[in-house]
Amino acid sequence: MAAIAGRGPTDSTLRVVIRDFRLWVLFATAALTIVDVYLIFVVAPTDQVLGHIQRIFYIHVPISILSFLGFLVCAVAGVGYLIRRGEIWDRVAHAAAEVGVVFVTLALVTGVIWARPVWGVWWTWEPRLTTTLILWLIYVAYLMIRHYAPTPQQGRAWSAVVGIIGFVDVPIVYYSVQWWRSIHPVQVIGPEAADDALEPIMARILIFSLVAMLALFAYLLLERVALRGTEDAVSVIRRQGTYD
Amino acid sequence: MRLLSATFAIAWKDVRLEFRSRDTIVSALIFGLIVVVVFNFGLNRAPGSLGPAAPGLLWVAYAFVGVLAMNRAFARELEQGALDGLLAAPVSRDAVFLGKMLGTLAFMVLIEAILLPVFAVMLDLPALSPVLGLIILLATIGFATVGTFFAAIAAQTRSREILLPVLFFPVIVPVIIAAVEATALALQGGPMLPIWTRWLPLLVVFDAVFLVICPWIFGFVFEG
Amino acid sequence: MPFPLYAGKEPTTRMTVPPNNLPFLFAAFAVAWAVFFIYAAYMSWRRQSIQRDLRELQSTVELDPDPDGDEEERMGSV
Repeated sequence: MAAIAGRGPTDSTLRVVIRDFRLWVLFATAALTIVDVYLIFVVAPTDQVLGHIQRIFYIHVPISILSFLGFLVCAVAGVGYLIRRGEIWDRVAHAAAEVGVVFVTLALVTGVIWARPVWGVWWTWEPRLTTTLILWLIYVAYLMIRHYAPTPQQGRAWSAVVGIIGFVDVPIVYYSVQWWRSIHPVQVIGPEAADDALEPIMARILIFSLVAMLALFAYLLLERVALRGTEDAVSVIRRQGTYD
Repeated sequence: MRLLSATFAIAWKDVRLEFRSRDTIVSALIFGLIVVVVFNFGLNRAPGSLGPAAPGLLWVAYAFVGVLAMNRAFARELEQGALDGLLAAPVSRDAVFLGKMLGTLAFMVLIEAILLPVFAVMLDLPALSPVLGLIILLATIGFATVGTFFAAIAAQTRSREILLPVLFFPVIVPVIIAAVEATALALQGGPMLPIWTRWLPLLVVFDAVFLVICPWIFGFVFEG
Repeated sequence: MPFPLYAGKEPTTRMTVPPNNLPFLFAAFAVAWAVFFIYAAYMSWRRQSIQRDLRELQSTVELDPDPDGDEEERMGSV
């Protein structure tokens, strides 16, 4: 009980603030998403070359970017946990990794659905897809490690170090895959395309989409942190009940 | 200075243990051979040599053998509470990490050196090039650094045999890519420049990054 | 080239008429939104059910005058 009773009134006020904030983020997410859907399906022009499938781009790119954000948050919170030792750091790291894995999974799925009509194959070892797949593998391992740890404390420390190592590895993986592909190019994919070729209206919708997805990301992260907090509180009481 | 002597003491202990028992070394060699034989059936559909697949095969075999060796390195410490003794010794965690890593590195390099001529015959490779030796050394440092770190975690769980490869292989992808590409270039005898401008620097960067980070956070592996 | 990240040389020359690939588009959006919705709904549902557990446990622990007594039995029944 000490862990719960010891938190005091400030913590419970904080928790109410977080709960209210979470609701506001949820409302913002819903509103932004409705506008986003309108922009993507009505306002955005149909791509002359690729057809309607190009509209996947407006969710695929934000989802990929936000999965990176999740892993960045995970690594930073991991360092925070190792230095400051507050459980909240570990909760944020765990939540960010799990939300990041959800996002990176969807980045892979939408990428595969994109590849089939556009490139004629479901999967291709294109540098970004390949890097994304390796990211997925690293962070699934991150989520596994917690379950294998004999004690919760070991689980927290191991997760933190694996999160740091995984994140440091990401740029190295990206560059190595990029170089590897430049020697063995995939037939259907050209080299790095010029980024300034995007039509202005498309770029603006993409940025709006990114903001909407960011709100969704924030909501899922807050929800996951809150869930971890509740789970921890229950397990503390259960352990007290069993061992006292 | 104390760090160095402690590091070498731990590494020397592991090397001596390995030579006393010899069971791991023999099984690792046989396992490396088996990997090549099995992959031969998967890849070598036309009669003749494996050709372009040979460098990849070499490194897949080395990586698998490496995982086997690393699993052993920490599993041995768990017998009769040897690990507690090691951690209680008045040396820093850095020395423990570097010592275990050096021991694993020596063991892996030895196995790779024995397997290389065998593979050279079986895969029809001109294997005796100094550049290839450098590639193997740098890549194996990367394997041993990351592998020792993850093995220390995996050894403390019940399912270490599965946890180590799951953690190890995704992180080690850049080393595999760089080693395979550099080996292919070295064996072709064509333009060697990309080895020096790209793949060896990549290996050096990987080794340096993880040789700094892994000792730094190694202490946290033994909490709780 | 209207599409920067995955723009390919091959498709531009191969497909001159905008192809009909709506099913793929809808598949992608359906999967993405379904996963997000299920994930959020699952977390919300699980948090509520755990909070119910938590309140029950807290009242059990706090009402118990003798925490060293037969608490274990009651914990087991929760």
